[in-house]
Amino acid sequence: MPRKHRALTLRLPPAQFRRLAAAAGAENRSPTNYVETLLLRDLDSKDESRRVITVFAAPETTTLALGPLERNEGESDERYRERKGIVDTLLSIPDNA
Amino acid sequence: MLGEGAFVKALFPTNEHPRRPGLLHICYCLAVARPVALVAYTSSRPWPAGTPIPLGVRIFGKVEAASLNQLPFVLYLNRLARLPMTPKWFPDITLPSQGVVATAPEGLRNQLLEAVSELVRRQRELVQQTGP
Repeated sequence: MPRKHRALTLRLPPAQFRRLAAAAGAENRSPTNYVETLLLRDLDSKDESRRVITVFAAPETTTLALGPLERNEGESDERYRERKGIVDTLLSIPDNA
Repeated sequence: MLGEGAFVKALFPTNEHPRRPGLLHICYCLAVARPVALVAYTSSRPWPAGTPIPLGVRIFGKVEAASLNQLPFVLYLNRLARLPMTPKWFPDITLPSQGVVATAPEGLRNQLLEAVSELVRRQRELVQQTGP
């Protein structure tokens, strides 16, 4: 069953509401939709600022068992170990896209 | 051969549809752990003038891009995708080239690995500061 949206009551002084309505009208939006858009944009930007690396994961990869990290031709043991540590960390980052 | 250092054609997902194959891009392969490849996004859209370059973004100008048989492009090591090595995500994977259009020389591979290592260090710090 789909989750119902939660309602939020917002009270503004008349002058501020008029400004809000004008700004929303300029974008062909209702005041409610305008506020919702601004709010979601702000929450997205907060998420973005907390994120150093964005990882997209194809849905199929969640059930796949991964083989060992493939080694490059002539790659030293030291480099392979270092790269494996980095790649293991990257592979452990959940899909955050 | 698709492996670390390969620039490969892939259908990198978009923000709008992050779980579906997206637009065809040349991506940089960081690692292969079969049957999955870890690739970084590239774009031919020029970096906006005057905008600071964040950690993990590397601009390949005309000369450097040409050495990889490419037009100028921007590599985003901070924008990665874990993709199965199938034609759904790598349209030329069944060809002998596997869709690989160029391979980074060892020096460049090392520079890019170092940049990713720095990103991972920052990511760990951030996770420690803010919690997983």
